[in-house]
Amino acid sequence: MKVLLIEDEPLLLNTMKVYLETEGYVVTTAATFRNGLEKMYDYDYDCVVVDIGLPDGNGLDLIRQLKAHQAQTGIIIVSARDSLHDKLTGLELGSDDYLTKPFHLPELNARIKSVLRRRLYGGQNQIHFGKITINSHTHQVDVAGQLVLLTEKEYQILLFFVANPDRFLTKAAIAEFVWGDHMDLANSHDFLYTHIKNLRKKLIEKGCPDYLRTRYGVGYLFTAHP
Amino acid sequence: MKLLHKMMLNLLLVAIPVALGGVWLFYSFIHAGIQYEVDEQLSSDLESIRYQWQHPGSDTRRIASSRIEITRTGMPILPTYSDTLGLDRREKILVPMRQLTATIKTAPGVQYRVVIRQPMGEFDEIARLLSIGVAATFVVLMAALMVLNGWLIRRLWHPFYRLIDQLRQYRLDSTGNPQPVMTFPQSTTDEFNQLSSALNTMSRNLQEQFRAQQQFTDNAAHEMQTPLSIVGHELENLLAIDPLNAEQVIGIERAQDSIRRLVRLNKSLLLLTRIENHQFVGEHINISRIVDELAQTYHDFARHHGLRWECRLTPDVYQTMNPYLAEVLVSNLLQNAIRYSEPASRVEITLTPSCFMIQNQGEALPFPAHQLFDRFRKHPAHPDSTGLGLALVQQIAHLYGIAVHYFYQTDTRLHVFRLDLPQPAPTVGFNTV
Repeated sequence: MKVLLIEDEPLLLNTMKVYLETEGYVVTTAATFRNGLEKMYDYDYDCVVVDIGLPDGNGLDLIRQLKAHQAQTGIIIVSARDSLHDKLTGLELGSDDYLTKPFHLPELNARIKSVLRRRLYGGQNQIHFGKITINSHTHQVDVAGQLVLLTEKEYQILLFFVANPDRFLTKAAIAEFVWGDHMDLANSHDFLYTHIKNLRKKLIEKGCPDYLRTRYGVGYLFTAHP
Repeated sequence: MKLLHKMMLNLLLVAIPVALGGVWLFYSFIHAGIQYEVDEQLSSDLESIRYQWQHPGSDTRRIASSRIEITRTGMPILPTYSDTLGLDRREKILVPMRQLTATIKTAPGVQYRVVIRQPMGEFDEIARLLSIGVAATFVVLMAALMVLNGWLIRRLWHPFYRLIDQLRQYRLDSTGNPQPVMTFPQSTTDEFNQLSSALNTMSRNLQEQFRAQQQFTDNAAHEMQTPLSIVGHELENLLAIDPLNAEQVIGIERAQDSIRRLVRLNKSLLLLTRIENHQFVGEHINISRIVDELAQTYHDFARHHGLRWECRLTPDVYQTMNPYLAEVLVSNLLQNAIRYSEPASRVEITLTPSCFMIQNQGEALPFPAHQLFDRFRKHPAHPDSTGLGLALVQQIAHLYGIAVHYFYQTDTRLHVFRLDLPQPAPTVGFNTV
């Protein structure tokens, strides 16, 4: 999987690159509009992550050119401004997702995966993890062919785990992925715990091995390895 | 008190004593003058009587006047003038009179006491009429002066009142005003010209400072986002290192927690600045749907806290607002209600076409209610909150002309937030993002 990151802040670019490389992507980076444009024409990418606030041009123009050049590439906009206007323009231009800075890296990873799934596998919306099969279109979850009835929030949590296997995920990152900005509340971790406990119970009831490890009360690790 | 009224009052305060004193003085002068003349007349009459007496051949008719009384007396007296009352023969009433009493010696040892009287009524009448005439002229003069003064003041001070009107409308953060620097008009009066140019300079300076400050907040909040992202990401990458002990993981998590607080704070500050800069476009939106969706989002959480979540929403209530800001407004109020509710109490959410109300049960505020919407006003029991949630509520409500009321019912221990929605929805113009 080839990913192009266009971001003017070198340190941020580096952390994203390091993270995505450990996820197994081949990552190319560009720090300016011009550089991004060049790299865009050099290779075909599966996904482009572009910051729209570049010093020498607007990321939205980059998306316009990219759409004209290679329409099948997935596009994720990253913006420092939480602007509905930019978001709508970006989505109208054909980008797939919009992330507001600052974001969690596992969240970026989950979004890239979801974009790739939509772009690359077309109608096939099945995600497999061990005995679990997720249909990202119908939000249906099976464990070894048996249907598991999950609430929407439990489904979201599972999706986040499956997108970030073998990675230590903090409760805050999970809560933010599932509830967005709405869970700034003091004891939201406790609340999250209840949802995860229910999800775990439902999966185990259907004969699914327990993939979830708790780490020091701070977060979780979703792994198929014992 | 208006300048005009003050001036009039002062004028009157001086004019009334002057008028009263003047009339009294005028009357006294005239009275004294007349008396002097009458006394002279009486004395000349006395001389005339004496002359007639001493020369019996002359005309005696005048001695027989009703004004003169002659009686025989033993004692000589000095001529004395006095005021008395006497009967007016014609009008049969008592009238004030001036009288002269003297003695005339006709022969040695034969003396007559002579009393001559002169009615003063006519003279007093004249003096009174004169005084009234003068007083009336004075009053008319005063009235004319006051009218003239009033008219002049109104005319001369007109530019001043116009300046005041303009100043009253002056707002640094005026809604959707594309040119917030106000220009005050010139006038033909030097003093007002000076005032006007001083105000112009002040308004320009204020505007520049205000803009600089806004820009600073905006830039500072913006510039902070990238380093915050980097720190957050680095910490996440640290967590991915495999052999980490509990202490390290908990330390990293604690650092992330602080970063999260900073991020939240930063986002709220940025939002506040952007609202102040009018960077949000309003549209006709269904408030009922927004409240319903958010109430459902928070329902799970409320249930987790053991709260009874009661919604009474009138469907299809429309307002002209920015959808994102409407969401922030409602969700901040809902979060507030959850955060400060007692366990197992009831939260009531009511939406009608004219108002949106949230009630939750809990302890009274530990600080005065008017500070509730201040920035960084935190409940001592929740030091981790940003202290900006309700400030944002206030700011957004203000932007759309929504009145926010808060009160605490001591008997039912209810915190009540009531937002009066404007009727009908106003059209507010905003700059686009």
